[in-house]
Amino acid sequence: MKLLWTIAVILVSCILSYTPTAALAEPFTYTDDLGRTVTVSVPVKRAAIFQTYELIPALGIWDQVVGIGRYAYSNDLVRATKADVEETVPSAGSGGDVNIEVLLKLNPDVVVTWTYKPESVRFMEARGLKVIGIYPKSLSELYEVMRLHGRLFGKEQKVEVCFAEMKKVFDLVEEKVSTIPPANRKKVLWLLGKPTTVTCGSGVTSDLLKMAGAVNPASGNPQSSADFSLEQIVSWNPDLIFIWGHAGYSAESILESSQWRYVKAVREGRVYKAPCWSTWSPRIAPIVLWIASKAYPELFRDVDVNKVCDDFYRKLYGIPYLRVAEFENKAAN
Amino acid sequence: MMAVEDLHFSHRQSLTPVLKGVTFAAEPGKLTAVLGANGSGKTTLFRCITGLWKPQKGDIRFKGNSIGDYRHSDRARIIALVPQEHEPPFPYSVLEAVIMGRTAHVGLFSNPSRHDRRKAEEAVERVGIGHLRSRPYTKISGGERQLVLIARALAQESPVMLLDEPTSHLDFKNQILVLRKIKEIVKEKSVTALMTIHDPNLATLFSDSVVMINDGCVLSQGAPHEVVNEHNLSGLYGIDVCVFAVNGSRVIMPRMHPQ
Amino acid sequence: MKTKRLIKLLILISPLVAGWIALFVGSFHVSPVSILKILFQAIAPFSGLADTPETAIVIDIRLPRVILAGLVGVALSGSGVTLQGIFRNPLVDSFILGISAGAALGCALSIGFLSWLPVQPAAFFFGIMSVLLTYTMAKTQGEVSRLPLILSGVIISAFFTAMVSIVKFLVDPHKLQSIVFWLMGSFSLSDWRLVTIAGIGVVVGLAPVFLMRWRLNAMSMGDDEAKTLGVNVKRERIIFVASSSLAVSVAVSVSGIIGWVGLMVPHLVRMMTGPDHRTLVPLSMAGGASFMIFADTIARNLTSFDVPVGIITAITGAPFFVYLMKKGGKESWGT
Repeated sequence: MKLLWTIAVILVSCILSYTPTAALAEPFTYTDDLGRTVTVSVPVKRAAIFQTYELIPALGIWDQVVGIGRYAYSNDLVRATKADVEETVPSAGSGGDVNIEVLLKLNPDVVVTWTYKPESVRFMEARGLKVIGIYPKSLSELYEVMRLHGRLFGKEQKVEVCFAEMKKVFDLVEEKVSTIPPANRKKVLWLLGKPTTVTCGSGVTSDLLKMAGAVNPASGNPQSSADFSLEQIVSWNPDLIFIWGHAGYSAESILESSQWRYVKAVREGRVYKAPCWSTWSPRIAPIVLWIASKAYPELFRDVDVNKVCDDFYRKLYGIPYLRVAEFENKAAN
Repeated sequence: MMAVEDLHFSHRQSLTPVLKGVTFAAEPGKLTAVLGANGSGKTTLFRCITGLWKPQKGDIRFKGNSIGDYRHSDRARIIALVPQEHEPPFPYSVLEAVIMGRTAHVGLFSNPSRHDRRKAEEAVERVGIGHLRSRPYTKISGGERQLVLIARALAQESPVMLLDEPTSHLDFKNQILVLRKIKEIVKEKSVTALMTIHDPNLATLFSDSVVMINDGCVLSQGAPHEVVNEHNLSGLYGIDVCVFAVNGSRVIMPRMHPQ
Repeated sequence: MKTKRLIKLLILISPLVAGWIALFVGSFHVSPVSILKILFQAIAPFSGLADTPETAIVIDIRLPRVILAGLVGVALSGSGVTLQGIFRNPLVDSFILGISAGAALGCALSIGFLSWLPVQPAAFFFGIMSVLLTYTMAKTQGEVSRLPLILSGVIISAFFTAMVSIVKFLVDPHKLQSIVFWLMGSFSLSDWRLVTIAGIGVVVGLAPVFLMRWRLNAMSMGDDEAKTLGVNVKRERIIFVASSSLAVSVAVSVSGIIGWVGLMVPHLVRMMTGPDHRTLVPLSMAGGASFMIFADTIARNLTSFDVPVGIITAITGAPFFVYLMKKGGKESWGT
C-alpha cells in the first residue's frame, strides 16, 4: 500500500513537471548592470518591468507582469497589443522615480528596471525587493537583456523566435549592404534631442547605423552622444540625416534652415525623422531595414519594406503593422 | 522764507501722533537749529518736509507757494538734504558724489552737462575739499565726508537746505569746522537752512534762530539769546540745566547736583 | 588717470577684437584669406556673395553665433550692472528677480507638455511673468522697496524651481534630456533669426537703461536719499527693472541660462574703471559682450564637442574673480 502511494506520488510529480505551465521553480542567478548578483526563482510569476516594456508583448508575458513603468502607457506597441493596459496593469512610477508603496503593494517577485538612476535600484533593494538593473549599451548587450527576460519568464523559446525573426530582417539588410564597397558607403548622422546633439560611437543606435551599412562620422567619439558645433556637422557633410523620433523638431525645420543648406543630406532632401520606437526592443530590426532602405534605395527597390514590417509584427506580436502605425500617428499629432 | 504750518503726522496703525501741529518759519540767509530730545519728532519733521513721509494735515510753504504736494523731482529744486553720515554702496569719487546733487537739474535721459560739472566743481571748491575731488568717497574721514554731502547740497542749488545732525559723527574739531563752513555758506548763498542738532551749546553758538520741539509740538522759537534759557531747556530735555553767560556767549551745562 | 582712460578704451573696443578673432576659429577650416574675402563681399554692395560652403559657414553659422553671444553678453551684463545699482548690492545678478527660474519653467513646460508652444516664447513669457509676480509680491502699501523685492525674487525663484522639478519628474527621460540641455545654456543653435530677436530685445530693453544710466548713481545711494536728490524712485525703478528684465528674458529665451556673466562682468569692470554708472554701464555691456564671445569661442573650440557655454563662463570666471578679490582686498567689494 505504502509502495503504491509512493509510485503514485512519483508519477503525479513526473506528470506535473512535464506540463510547461507548472514548471518547477528553480533558482536563477544573474549579475546585473551594476555588478550586483541577484538570485530569483524562475519562472517569475509576478514581475514589475519599468523600462523594457516592449519585451512584454514580444514574449507574451502580460499574465506574469503585475506592474509597469508609467511611460509604457504612452508606448504605441504596448497600447496596440493591450488596449486596456491602463486599467489592468498598474504603474509604480518609472525607473527614475519609484512609488515604493505601490510597488510593495504589488508584491513583485522581481523588479526589472534600468540603471538610469542607480540609487533607486539600491533603494528598492533595501525595501526587500529583488531588483535586476539593466542598461544595454550595444546590440549584443540588448540580446543579453532579451535572453535574461526569456530566462526570467520561462520564455527562452519565444526569445529564440524573436532572434530568428530579427535575424531574418538583419540578413536581408546584410545581404544587400555587404555588397557596397567602403568608398560608396553613405555618411549618416543620427540627431537627438536638439539638432546639434549627435549619436556617437557607442550605444544601440550606433550599432544599428553600422548594420544598415552607414558610416557615422561622429563614431570616432567613444560616447553614446555628444553636442557638436554646427560647423562640425557641416564639415562632416553627411549624405543622410536621421532624427530621433522623440526629438522636438521636425525634418522640415532642418531642410528649410539656411544654415544647413550646404549639408549634402539637406541639399538632396534626405532628412528623415524616425518613428518613436524603443531601441531596447526587437523592433530595432525593422528600424535597421528602414535606415538602410533610405540610405540605399536603389538596393532595396525590390524589397517591400512595409510588407517585411507587417510580417515581423504579425509573427512577433500577432498584430498587423497598421495597428501600431495608428497609435504612432495619434502620438505624432 | 520757508514756513511749516500746522503739521500733523502719525504713523499708520498708530494712535499716538508724532507731530501735533508744528508751526514755525525759517528765514533765508539764516541758520535755524531744531532742538529736541530723542523721539521728540525732529526726524519725523524732516521726513515730512523732504516729502519722504506724508503729513496727515498741514502744509509746507516756500515763498508763499505750497510745496506739500510736489513730486520729488520738483521738491529737490527747492529743498536739498544733507543726510547724516552714511555708507555708500560703491566707492564713488568725491566729485561723482557731489555731481549727484545735480540730479534734479538733469533730464531723465541725459547726463550732466558741462554746466552741471562746473557747478559741482564750484561746490567742491567752496567747501574747501578741492584736493579730494578724485579720492574715493569711502576712503576719506567722517568730517570730509560731511563736507562732501554739504557740497552736494550746494551743487543742488536749492534755496532751502536741510541738515540732519551734521555733527553727530564728528570729533570736536570737525564739529566746529563743519558748522563754521555751514554758517559761511548760508550767509554767502542766502540759503534758508534748517539743521537738527543734539548739542544745545553748538546750536547757540552757530545758529541764528532756534526751534525747540518737544513731544511733537513747538515749545518755543526765536533767536538763541531769547529762547535758550534754563526754563526752556529743562522743559525740552526733562533734566535740570543751568545756563551761564561767558564772554557774551552762553554755555549750557547739566546741573550736576540737584538742589 | 591716463591709464584708466586707456583701460576704458580697451574695454570698449574689446567686443570687436574678440568678435574678429572668433570669426577666424572653428572646426570647419576656412582660410583667413577667404574669410576676409567673404566678409568683404558681404559688406561691399555690388560684388555679390558667392554661394559656397565657406560662405555658409562664415556668414550663416559663425557670424550669427558670434553676434548672438555678444548680444546676450550685453543683455546679461547690462542688466546685471543695473540691478546691482538699484539694489545697492554688488552681489546681485541679472537673475535676482526670478527670471531664470521663470524661463526654466517656461522651457520645461514647453518641452514637457505644451508641444504647440515653442521654447523661446515660453521662456520669454514665463521670465517676464516671474518678474511681474516678484514685483507684485514685494508691493506693500503701494511701495516697492529693495529688501522685499530681493526676498520676493528669492521666493519666486524657489517656487518656480520647484515647479521645474515637478515637470522634470513627470516627463519621460527623452524629454528630460532636452530640458537639461536647454537649461545649461548654449549658442549652438544660433542663427540670424535669433540674432534679430536678441538684437531687438537688447536695444528695446537696454536703451532706457543706457540713457538713464547716470541716475543709477543717485539710485544707488538708497531710496530716501535718491528721492531728496530729485529722483522719482518709484517710476524710475520700474523703468530700470522692466527694461533690464525684458533684455534678460530675451537673452535667456535665445540662449538658455548662462550664469556668472551678469554678476561677474559688472564687478570686474567696476574694479578696473570705478563705480560711476555713466561709464560703468556702457563698459559693462562691452565687457559682457567680449567675455561672452571669448567664452563661446572656447566652448566650441576647446574640444571636438560643443561644450555648454555656461560651464565655460563658470570655469573661467570663478578663478579670475577670486584672484581679483584677493588682489583688490576689501575695497574691491566697494566697502
